[in-house]
Amino acid sequence: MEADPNAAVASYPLVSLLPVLRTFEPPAGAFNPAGPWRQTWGVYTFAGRTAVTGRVGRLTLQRQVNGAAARLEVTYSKELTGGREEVTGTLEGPADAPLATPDRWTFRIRLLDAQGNPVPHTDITRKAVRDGGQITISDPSETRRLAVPGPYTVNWCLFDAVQRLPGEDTKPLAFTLIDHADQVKPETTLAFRKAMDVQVAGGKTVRTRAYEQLGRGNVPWVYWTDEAGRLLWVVAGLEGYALEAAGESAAKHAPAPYGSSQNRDKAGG
Amino acid sequence: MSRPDAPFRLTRRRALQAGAAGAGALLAGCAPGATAREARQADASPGDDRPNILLIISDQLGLDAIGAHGCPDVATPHLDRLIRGGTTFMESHSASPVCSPARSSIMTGFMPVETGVVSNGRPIHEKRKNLGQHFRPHGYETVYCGKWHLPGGYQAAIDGFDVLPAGKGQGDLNDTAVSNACAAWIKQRPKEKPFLMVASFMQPHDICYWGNARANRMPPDLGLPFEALRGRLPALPPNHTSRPPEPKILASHFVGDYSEDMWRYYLWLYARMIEMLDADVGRVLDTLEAAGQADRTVVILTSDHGDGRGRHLHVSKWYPYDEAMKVPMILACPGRIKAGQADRAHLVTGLDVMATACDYAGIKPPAGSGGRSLRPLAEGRDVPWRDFVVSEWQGAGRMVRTARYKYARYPGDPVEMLFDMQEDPWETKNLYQEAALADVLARHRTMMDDYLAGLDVVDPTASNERPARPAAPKKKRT
Repeated sequence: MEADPNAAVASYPLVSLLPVLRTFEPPAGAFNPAGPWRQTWGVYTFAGRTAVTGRVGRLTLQRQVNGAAARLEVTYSKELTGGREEVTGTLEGPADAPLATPDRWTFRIRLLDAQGNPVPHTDITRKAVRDGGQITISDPSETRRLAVPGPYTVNWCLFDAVQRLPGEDTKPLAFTLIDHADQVKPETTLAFRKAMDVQVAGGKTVRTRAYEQLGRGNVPWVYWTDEAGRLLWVVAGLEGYALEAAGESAAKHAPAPYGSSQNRDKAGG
Repeated sequence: MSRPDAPFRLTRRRALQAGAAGAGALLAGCAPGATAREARQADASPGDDRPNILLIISDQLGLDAIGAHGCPDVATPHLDRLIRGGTTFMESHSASPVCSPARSSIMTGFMPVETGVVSNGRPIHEKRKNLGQHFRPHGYETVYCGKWHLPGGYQAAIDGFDVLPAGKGQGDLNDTAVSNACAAWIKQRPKEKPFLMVASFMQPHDICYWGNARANRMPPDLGLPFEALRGRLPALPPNHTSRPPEPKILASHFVGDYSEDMWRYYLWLYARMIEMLDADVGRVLDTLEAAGQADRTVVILTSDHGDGRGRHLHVSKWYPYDEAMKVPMILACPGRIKAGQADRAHLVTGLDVMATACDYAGIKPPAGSGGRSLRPLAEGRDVPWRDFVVSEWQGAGRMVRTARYKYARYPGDPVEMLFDMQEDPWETKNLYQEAALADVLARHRTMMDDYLAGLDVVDPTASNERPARPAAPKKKRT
């Protein structure tokens, strides 16, 4: 792709991940995106004169399903100069929501120094719960109410949602993005982009479906799934993700049925 | 504006006098409502009612790229509320339209040739103190988070500051962590001392990597890569194809091989990156308010430089046109700083950040700094002001900006630049050869020469980056 300008245009913006694709081994076997699963992506940053500057982190999502309810557990770790950022979160909502929209979520964000010790005064936990057209986000010292009329979702949930979209039969979805779990970015859309073959390690070809997310407060995000729905790659501006491990979730802590009081108490308290 | 085009050195002396006076008049003129705030202040910082200083630095944010500054292509609710709640300076010029040199000036109050940071990737000369080094001995808690670039883009340690880790990556990979860390720290910090915090965001600097042809993010013939954006892209600027006579090095910078779709996509991307910045600024401002610190924190928001944005067929920075040179300079603090004020009369510069922060903190500014406190202007008081500001870049280019004219030159290049900014704000007519303006040209040359002669120049510090080489000239595709 790199040497051929036409290929670079045709694969845009996947060309940013080209060095990763050269060694990418596509996952094999059956996959049920509506069931429990666990996937890990490497987090990449792009800049300068080379397409990939480096792998700077890891994102793991674990989806659990119990009847009509789904829970998405997020573990994100990113290198920093002199330390790293650790984000853990849980998002809960109906299992069949097209955007994997959560009704409640909790995120903890921590900074660790180079020795792995917590950086003082930087550990923050935010909880959010939907109440009609409003989302209440709170931490121990602050409660904010965000007016979010209409459909919405949280950024990590789109990594889940795209895996169940029906390819070219996808109708464009319009929604408000709650980015990084607390930043409101309206007028966002998610739509099918195109089907395309991508060459990976050993000259193998993977048939993919690409989806594009456009909206306020973000550069375009493009998601590539394989034909089974597994999310292989994501490119958003100078940020990229490439699947490193995929499997069925252990589902040891399956959530209580969606809407139960047990479920609400655990996440919303 | 007093004494049109008077030598800057005179106003520099006035600046030092004004700074000393300001230090003695700490918090004088607090607005009505101060009494109501006292209980919270006493609770927050017993025994020390000096204001906190929150310096927010963005990267590559042009002054007129913000909604409240008239940009129709971007939604910046948080920057807009900062502007509406404070004073914004509409004649704000970077001390250098290049990252590291501009940042050295913001952090010290001195011109880049006085800090040793004459190009990217250099540390500040040991002769100059940064804000943290200057504030910490005066009892301020000093914290830095985000891009530094003096010399390292991000550093685990910075003299004078406690550093909250950040970095490794571009855009959201950085800025989200920066705003989260700053927000958490503001809420959880020990409350014994006032703080000086620098929240230094990367966006919208990511746009640099779209303008870099070798990075493959705008490959030739890309066209519009997202068809859904058709009909929703920003318009091209009125001076898009303007190519007035330029010094040779500047003429080599332009981008001639983008289609109109690509240029407009570039502008659309830039707007989205500014909105990403806006969300992170919002997270920090929300925290200040929620923590009851907004009315005891002086917020200063600025940028190191702007971006070409297709004006004069340019991307990026490194040149004296307004798109690269003009940056936001916004001050806000409810009850202390005049709200809803857009100052169009006073020429300000990144050098003024240090003097302004010092003034509010009751700290004497560094001796010899060319910066001036913006406090009296922000509080609506009329004071004698400077007649011009100066900028420098690439170790060679120099610009003088007066109320009406912009003059720039590169040593050894016979082509100079003179623009009438009142008659030609888009800088389309280079008037340096106009006989009728020979007098104006001569005066601006003298201003620049006098100013440069008055600087306390130090040896450039060692750079950790390769010297930038402009790309080969490109021809406009037909």
